[in-house]
Amino acid sequence: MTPLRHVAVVGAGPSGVYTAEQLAKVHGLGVDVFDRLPTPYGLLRYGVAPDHLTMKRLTATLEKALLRPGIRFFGNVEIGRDVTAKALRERYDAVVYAVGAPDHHQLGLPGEELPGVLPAGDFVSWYSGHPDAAPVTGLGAVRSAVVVGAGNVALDVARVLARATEEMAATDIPDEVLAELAGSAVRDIHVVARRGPGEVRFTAKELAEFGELKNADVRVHAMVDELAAAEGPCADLFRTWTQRLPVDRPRTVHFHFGRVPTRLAGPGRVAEVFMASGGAATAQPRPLPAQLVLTAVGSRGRPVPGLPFDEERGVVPHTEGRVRADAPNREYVVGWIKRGPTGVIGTNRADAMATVRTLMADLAGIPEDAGPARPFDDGELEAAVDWAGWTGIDATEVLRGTDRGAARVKVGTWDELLAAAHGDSRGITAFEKG
Amino acid sequence: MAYVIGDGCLDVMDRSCVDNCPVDCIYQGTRKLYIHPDECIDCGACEPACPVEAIFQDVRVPEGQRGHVESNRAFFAEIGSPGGAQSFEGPLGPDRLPGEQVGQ
Repeated sequence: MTPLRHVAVVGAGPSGVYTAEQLAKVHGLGVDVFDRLPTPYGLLRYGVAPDHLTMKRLTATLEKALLRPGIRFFGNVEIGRDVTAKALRERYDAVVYAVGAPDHHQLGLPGEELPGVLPAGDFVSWYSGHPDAAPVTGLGAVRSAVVVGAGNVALDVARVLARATEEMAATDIPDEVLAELAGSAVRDIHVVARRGPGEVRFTAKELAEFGELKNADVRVHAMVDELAAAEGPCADLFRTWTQRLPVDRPRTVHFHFGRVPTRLAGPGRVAEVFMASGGAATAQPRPLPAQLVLTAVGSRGRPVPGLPFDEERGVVPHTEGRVRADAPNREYVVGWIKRGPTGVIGTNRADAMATVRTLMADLAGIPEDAGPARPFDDGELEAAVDWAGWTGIDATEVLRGTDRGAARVKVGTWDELLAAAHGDSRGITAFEKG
Repeated sequence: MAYVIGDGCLDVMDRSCVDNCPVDCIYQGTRKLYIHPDECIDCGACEPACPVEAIFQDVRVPEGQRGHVESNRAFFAEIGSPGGAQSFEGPLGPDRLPGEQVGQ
């Protein structure tokens, strides 16, 4: 009988899950999926904006994949802390790293260290209820917010700031986050792009949502000539909005182009964003008032212990998904740690298929009985949260949602996540006691 | 909302979109592919994956190809929601093309 091959996948986000699914479903391998969080789904859970409910439906697809026979989930297991990379190499026939791009680029500007300035990614982690996120406070004192960046993360944070409380109540954001957003005094949200209206990297579909916001008007600040000459679906939207009559809404989202922030100024906490004009304009732009500045200028991978790292690109170098073509270690990468933070979720499915092709070709070249894999036994990793543990968290969140009319409300702290995973959730107890 | 496959796919069926669809909702007819309007999560992964640029968001389908929005839906009318294209080999049902009378 052929010994069953076992692969470890590090990271239970979309690229890790697609990889596990391919390995188990198409090739019949055993797959153990590890995540440092007690919850699966990675950026689908902690990155995709909470109001993008349609996209969250992908959860059902990933759940179905993880429930396949042959796949096990080990949550709350951090490689390098709870299990070494060496142990994974020794115990499994191959290891696939799907660890994403968790670090954020900074602007590198004077004043960036001021209170009130933070990477948009940190803001996303906060409203997504990530247990490591620092709480955002003081939105009640913010009248004007500046979002620096021209990608979809900039749009996500701007839209969350623009939405009405009742819109956000229908999402899965934690109660504490909803309360903070409900107390927000934000009136103006300025999205500041270095590029012109034809060069922004927004997805047109996501930009179009701003035209439908119930709680906010949209204003486009672009030079007439520049806007007229700009091409592409985003430029079409911007032109449409310039022709729209102003409507009286509590909030306004402003789009600025060809503006390069040069300095963030206080005193004490951020109050103004100074900019230079990056385009053809000659006049020095006026500084924008800002009690909150979110910088959305890209993310990058973090070095993985024991693997080479391309500091410039922020990825693990690889050949068709295999790390170190010449070494005997069968270690692979997939997703953003492989390609950098590009593409949409579905891109990871094709990417996973590519890495799996390389992995399977390598496995075919080794003898079947050469050092059989010794995957962890169930329960061998004491602190691990298994699938049953995750379903405990899941049930707690769904229950919390009933009070708010939402499909779920997230559990946002380590203590509560682990309590829910171990079945002693306060939510469930209260419910059972009626 | 959903994405829709238009004229460009007809007799091409490159299938690159199929590998990029995160929910596996792109199904095969005899002459073209179809996106399930209820299973699609509107993520947009298929659009740039298509080598012949045949895929559009339903609200952005060009003039002259709008009929594909309805024929995509019609393709699934009797099939329902199969919940994943990978379970099927070959065509899932008869093609539905704009301008044709359904049922003939």
